[in-house]
Amino acid sequence: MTPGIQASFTKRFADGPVIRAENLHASTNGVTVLFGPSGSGKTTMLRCLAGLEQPEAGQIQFDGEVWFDSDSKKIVPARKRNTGFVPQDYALFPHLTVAANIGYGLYGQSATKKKARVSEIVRWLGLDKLETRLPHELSGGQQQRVGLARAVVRRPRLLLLDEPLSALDTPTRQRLRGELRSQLLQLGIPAILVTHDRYEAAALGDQLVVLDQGLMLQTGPVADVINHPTNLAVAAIVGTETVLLGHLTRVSDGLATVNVNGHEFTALAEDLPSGANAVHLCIRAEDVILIQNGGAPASARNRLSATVLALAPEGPMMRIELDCGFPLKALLTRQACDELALKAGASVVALIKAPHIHLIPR
Amino acid sequence: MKLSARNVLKGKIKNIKRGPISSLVVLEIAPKVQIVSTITAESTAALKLKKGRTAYAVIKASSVMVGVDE
Repeated sequence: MTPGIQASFTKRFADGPVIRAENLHASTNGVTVLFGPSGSGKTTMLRCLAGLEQPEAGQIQFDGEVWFDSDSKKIVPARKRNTGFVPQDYALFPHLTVAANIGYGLYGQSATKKKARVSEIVRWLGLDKLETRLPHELSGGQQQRVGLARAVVRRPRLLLLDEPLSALDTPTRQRLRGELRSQLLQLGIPAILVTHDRYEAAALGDQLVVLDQGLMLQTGPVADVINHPTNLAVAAIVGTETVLLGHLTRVSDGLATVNVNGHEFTALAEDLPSGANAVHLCIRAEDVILIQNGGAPASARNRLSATVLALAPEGPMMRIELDCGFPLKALLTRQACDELALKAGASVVALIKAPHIHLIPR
Repeated sequence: MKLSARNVLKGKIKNIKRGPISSLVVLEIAPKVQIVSTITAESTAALKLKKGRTAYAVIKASSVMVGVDE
């Protein structure tokens, strides 16, 4: 028996792509994130797991228990799968109080038991003093917590969350990322979460499944997938800011030398197939350090003279567009930009460590 | 030298473990406080790193993980 979700299925919509889950596995430990752009099929996959949509063909199992099997025509209905589902807009009943919304799923239980369980969840999620409020009297973040509370109140075996933070404004979303992850871990219930936001995917997930046009492109631990995309489509989806086409000129002592427009880069020669010639270099903006021209020697193997083209704020950080003879992007704190007096036209040196350049054979 | 990385920690090289591709450099930045860096063997040679030499650990803020006691 494979613990957690094990699923392979196809789901077809009349006017959309075929959604194909191929050996989708979500373990019982931690948070699995289905990540991809709008229309990539992630919400459909989640709804198929919940039993809210039925695939045309395939199988879905949880802890070895068959939830769906097209061959034997077995379909366990959503209510019997014992999953907690948090929809994108939380779908709170507007005419019910917080306590009544949370307790709604506890049908069939005595009033005393129901009250005790609701109080327990309310305390745990810090919703005390809000129990008598109606949903429209809550902030976005509080509504999100009520949605989560309603999903977990019946002690589900699996939690499914569809873009749980997307209805919130940016500052609240950023604040709640860490909070939501610790809540999910505290619960000890395996969770599958859908998001199109790469920061959310990185902040909330343990395992990442990258989807595009209905297909699973890459799966693995979050950091592995983000730092080592297996192809250009994944690199684009996970938001690798700089992707350059170069030619491999040498591999020696585990290091690869790659020429891009006459500039030689040094990268680790991991997983390069023999005979590789053209390669894409993937560089994440957060791995680029900028120093003043003529700075002291440093261990970073890649040292590029660059001109600042533009600066743009991105949350607490600044995104810097650089021209090195090819475009390069860096993500720095505002304080760093001030200290280096960065402005359009300034000359700087960009430093990138060899292990921070990921090579994808073309 | 001005640089964008928010953390620049001065220390003395306590140990260098040289491998064929990379070296593990241990920098003591305060008594009993050490930082370990993996750099290429090429860089170790180019910077003429050796035990006892003063060097700096440079870490971007985005690379620092924060943990707390249970």
